[in-house]
Amino acid sequence: MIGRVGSHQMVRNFLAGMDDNNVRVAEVQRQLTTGKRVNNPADDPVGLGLALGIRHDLDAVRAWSQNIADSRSWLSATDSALGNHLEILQRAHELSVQGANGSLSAEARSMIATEMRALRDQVAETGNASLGGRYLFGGTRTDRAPFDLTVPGTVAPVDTGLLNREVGQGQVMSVNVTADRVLGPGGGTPDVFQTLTEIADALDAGDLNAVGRTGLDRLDAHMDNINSLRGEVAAKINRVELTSSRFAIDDIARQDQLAQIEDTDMAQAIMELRTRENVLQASLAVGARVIQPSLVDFLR
Amino acid sequence: MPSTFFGLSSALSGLMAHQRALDTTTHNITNINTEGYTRQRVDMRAAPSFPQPAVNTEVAPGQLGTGVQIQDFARLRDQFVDLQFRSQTATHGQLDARAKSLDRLNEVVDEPGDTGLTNLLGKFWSSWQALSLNAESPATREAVRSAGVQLAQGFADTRAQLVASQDEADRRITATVDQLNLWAGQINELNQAIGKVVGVGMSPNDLLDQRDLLIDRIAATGEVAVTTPGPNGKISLAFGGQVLVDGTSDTVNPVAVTAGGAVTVGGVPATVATGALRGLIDIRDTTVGGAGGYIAALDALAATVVTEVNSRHAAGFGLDGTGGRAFFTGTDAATIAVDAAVVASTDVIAASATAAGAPGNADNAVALSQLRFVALTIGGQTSTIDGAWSAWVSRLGVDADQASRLREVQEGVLQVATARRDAVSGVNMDEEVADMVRFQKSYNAAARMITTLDSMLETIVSRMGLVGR
Repeated sequence: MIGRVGSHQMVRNFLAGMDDNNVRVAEVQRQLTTGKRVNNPADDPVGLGLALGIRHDLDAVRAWSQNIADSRSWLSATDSALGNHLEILQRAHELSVQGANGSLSAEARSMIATEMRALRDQVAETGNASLGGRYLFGGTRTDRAPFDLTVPGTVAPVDTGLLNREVGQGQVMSVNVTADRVLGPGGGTPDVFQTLTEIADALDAGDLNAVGRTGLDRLDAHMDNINSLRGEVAAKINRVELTSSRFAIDDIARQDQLAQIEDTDMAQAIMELRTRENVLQASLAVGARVIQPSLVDFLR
Repeated sequence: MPSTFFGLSSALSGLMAHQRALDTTTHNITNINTEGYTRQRVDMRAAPSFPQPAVNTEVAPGQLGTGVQIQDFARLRDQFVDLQFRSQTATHGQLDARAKSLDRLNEVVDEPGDTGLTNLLGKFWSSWQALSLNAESPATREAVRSAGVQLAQGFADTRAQLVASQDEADRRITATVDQLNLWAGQINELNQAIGKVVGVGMSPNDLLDQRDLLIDRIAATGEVAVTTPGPNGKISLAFGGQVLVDGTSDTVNPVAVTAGGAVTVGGVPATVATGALRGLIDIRDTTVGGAGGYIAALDALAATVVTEVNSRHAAGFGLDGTGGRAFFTGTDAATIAVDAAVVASTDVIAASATAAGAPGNADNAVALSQLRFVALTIGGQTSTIDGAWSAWVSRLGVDADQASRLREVQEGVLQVATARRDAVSGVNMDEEVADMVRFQKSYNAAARMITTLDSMLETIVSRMGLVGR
């Protein structure tokens, strides 16, 4: 306990207290005006460490979400191109069934053969489908049409490179189906162009066995191939959609966490501001009393 | 038998003593706002009594008082409180210097913020993700390049801020040392002036105040030790354990700080463990600079970014089919930059994992974006690149927070020490005014005594011996 107080000591105490109170009011005001509880590392070093980690995750999740959105449009485009492809094969199947009918005249068969050849060119066209100027089935040669329209067939050398991207931490997924797989199931089945050409030739030649049996068998094999490719694409779409909705939830949850660490709790901050302002005003009122009177004021 | 006029001189001594007392009160009141001023008090005592014993002293009932005498103009100061104050002001100086520098850094790293490295790193990784979607697109390639340029710029800017704070600390060290030597010179001069006054038997109160104030100021920059004043009133002052002002030979040994942070006094190494000088040297050579400082940690991080990005980048191939090229150049946060070849053409950016003819191949871009999650050894610690940066920021935050908290505590402690000193040495206006009234009354009373004596003498001189006239 101090037994004697210098005049300046009172003023000094008052000033130190008022400075403190001013700083405390300014602190809450800053929280309120910026809406942020953490404005620089020292405000909450531990919280900021967490917040930066969450921002880092959030950033990654957003990049993956972007990748998923892009992948989904690529996969949908692939699916619809494969759908067109399947329709062409179905038409070819119908025509082959018609053409295998022995009661048809040679002219009628020749007309069917012509349509069959037209379908062949159409296959090349759907195979050259592109998205944003990039060929869907071109492998990593996205800048080159994978199918040759002048001499129907694939452009050699066939690029079988995969378009890979990350759709989650460490989950690299390819989104493209390459031209060689669209061409046919492989094995003993000739490619789709050769199959259609051979059917057309057989129609012209009147070889109904080649049309009705071998041709149809091969077309079935091709349709199965395309169906399985579509299944694969659909499975991928499914996968990224699931991941995407998970990311959407993650994104909200992480933003929530971030807000809890970084953002000002308005109600609390306003209460705090009122309290601190009251303390400041009280200290000013006390200061006015402390500073003013001395014995000089009472002596005459 | 005392003289008839004896009482007059006694009363006069009262007048004069209280005149001096009032003068001292005036001095106190006028210096109420003078920094370092110590209140003074007139110590009075009764003047020697009459008569003195001697062989032919007449026989009287006792000695007769002869009035009042001024014994001393006392300077109300407590040396122990000074010691406390000086040691607290040294700690405060150190913490204040540290907190100020860290506060500034804390504001400039911009975390959390848009131009902070967290954001720039995030943008950089995400740009590689975007590239993996569209590897042949000049637009996405450009995005990668500009994210790289911004990241390099972010590192360089952050480092420049750190170097600036180091430079500032360095300039403040120089200024503090200059100031310190100036004060030491002034103390030396005051020492000599005090010696002269003490030599003629007087108390140089106001010079002592000035000397103590200068010692307080030096104490805020480092630890001081003051010898007890010699018979001539001079003191010797040690700074960091070495003699700064020598009171016997009236010499000053200048303080200097080497580039390595060693403090010398007159060329002799001194130990300065506290004070503003310590705080500034620590900031310059340990906290910001030095092997374990912020700059070194940032450099280590930048170097890791350069080598890791480059090693993954070199494994891939650009649009032109050439591989083995660097993305970044440089070895630390100051020199990190996007390679000139990448600046010249975005085709150089190695998104592809195969040599040529596969513009859509983005496997290397995927691999590069995955670097974000790879734990590496950065500056002796295992962490991802982003993790190392947030650890860096947290460290700065903890340091700055701790420094300002400690300073706050120390401010309280210093306030108490100031209050204790003030309790002894501070001027209290009420007290002085009360004294003024007291001394004025005494002065008036002494004057009244003279009037009374005068009228007594009047009786003797003018009215006596008129019998029978």
